[in-house]
Amino acid sequence: MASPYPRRRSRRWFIERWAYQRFVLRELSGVVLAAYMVLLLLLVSSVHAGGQAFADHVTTLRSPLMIAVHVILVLFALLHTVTWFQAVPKGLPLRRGEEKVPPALMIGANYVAMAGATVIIVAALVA
Amino acid sequence: MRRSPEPVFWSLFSAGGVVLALIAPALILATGFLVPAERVEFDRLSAILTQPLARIAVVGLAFLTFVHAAHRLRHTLVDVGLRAYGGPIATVSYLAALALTAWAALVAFG
Repeated sequence: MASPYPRRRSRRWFIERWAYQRFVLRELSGVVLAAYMVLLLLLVSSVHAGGQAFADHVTTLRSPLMIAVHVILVLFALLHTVTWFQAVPKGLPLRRGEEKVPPALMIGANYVAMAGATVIIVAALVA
Repeated sequence: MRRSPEPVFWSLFSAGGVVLALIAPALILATGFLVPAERVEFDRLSAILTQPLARIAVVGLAFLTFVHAAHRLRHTLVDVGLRAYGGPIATVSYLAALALTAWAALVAFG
């Protein structure tokens, strides 16, 4: 009897190839965004605690370490955005009559929405 | 047959994914760079965050973010080789997301 095909996969397969590393980085972006959510909630908490608490929090945010942390955070957030928009036409293929809506159009529409949201958020906060 | 809760998790994961893709870079830009550059006034932030709708939005965003992260973490851990512990990993992930959401509610309505 033929033996089953031996599946050989190392235990560390996910760090052996760039395509796999990219998959892990993308998945990790979810956890990184949760970590950012904690930072965001600490900021909200400082605002509710009053002007002095907020000023102290701003001082913390000014440190080189926190700036570096936010550079990493924004890179992961952009990785999430790009990979998510790439997946939209695959996960939710739209049709207009017989015609398939071109993936590039769907992805483009998402970037337009993201740009709009960015403008609204920044305009709402910066006086 | 007992209904699986999986569609609920996938729907929440997806909702969180959309919201984060649209606004996470802008939020990080604002709170990580514009706030330390003192381009955001305390009074402005306080006026926004004390509105009832904004408080609900903060909790909603936190809920979707934490469930999204829990879902990704759960499936990634299973995919990279912890399949045997799939059940406990799922339970711990989603419970952690709920606990963090409860904390977010305390913060938002504090």
